[in-house]
Amino acid sequence: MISNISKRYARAFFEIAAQEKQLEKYYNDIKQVASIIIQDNELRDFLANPVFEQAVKKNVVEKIISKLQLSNMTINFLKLLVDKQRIGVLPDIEICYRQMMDEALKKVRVNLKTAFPLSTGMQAYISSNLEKLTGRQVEMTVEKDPTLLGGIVIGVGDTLYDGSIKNQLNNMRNLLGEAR
Amino acid sequence: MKNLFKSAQLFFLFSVLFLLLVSIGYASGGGEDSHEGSKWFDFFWKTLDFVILVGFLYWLMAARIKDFFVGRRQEIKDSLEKTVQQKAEAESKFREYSEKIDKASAEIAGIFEMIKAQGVAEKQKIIEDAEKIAKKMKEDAQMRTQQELKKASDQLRAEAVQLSVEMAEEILKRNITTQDHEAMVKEYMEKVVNKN
Repeated sequence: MISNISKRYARAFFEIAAQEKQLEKYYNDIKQVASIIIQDNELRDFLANPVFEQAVKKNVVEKIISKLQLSNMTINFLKLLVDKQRIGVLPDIEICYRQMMDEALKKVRVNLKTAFPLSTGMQAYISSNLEKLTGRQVEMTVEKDPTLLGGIVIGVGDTLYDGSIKNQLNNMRNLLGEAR
Repeated sequence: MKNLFKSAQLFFLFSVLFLLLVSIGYASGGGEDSHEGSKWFDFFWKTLDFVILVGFLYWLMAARIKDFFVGRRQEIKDSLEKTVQQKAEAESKFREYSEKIDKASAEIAGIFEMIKAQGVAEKQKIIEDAEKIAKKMKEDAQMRTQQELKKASDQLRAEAVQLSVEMAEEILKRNITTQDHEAMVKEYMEKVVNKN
């Protein structure tokens, strides 16, 4: 559950990025830092823990920032989050920002799971069909999942299109099991 | 007064006795003149004594004897009347007790009939209850049998389905190729786009 605070920070940063026409650039910046925080549990706990002083936290964040090539605006935004003791919610801010950006750029993120590797042509085919379906530019992430046995599962936002053999077998199992 | 009467009687009794003794003595002493005449005289005196004695005894005892016999008769009469009365009373009592016995017998018969009727009703009720219970038991048993049958059938069906699906899964795993997969994806995408 994303808090309203995260949404407010995301909206503020998104509006600045829109004014500067740097929506994707700033998104990539905060995505880098957010992924570091998500992947490192100790860092996440450290930033969320009020026992540690703000100066210490700020110092750590600055060291991380220095190792990444971020825009000044993003650096300032991250420092502001440290000062306001909100750096811990950066992953939520990233999600909100991405939603607003996708909305603004008419983009849709698609998560595609496949039982067998898909050729580039097939991926393009799927992408173009999904663009027809959603009316938006598709940004697709492909993931291999052999447990599907065959077919694909497409996640578009909250909608899931399941064309896997696993799903069909489950349907068959339910149908035969319920049949009297 | 009564004592005085008794004293007079005693006095009279002793006087008569004295007179008798005297007359007897006189009678026994007068036989010297004429033997034949003295016999008649003696007889006369003896007869006189006897008559006096009888008269005296009559005077003394008659009332009592009469009283005795009259009282006895009355007593017997009373006794008879009393007996008749007692008999009537006994008969009355007998009738009364007989009626009571009849009434009690009727009551006993009524109670017996009532108990019998109650027994019959109770018996009927027990039979009806037993029949109801038996019917319910039968229905329960039938239902349980049906449930068990259904459960077994469902279980069998589920196992058969599971086995079929597992077999299908194994066959698909072995036989599906990349080309099949791509064809399947293509078909599915067309279906999704057309449907939406």
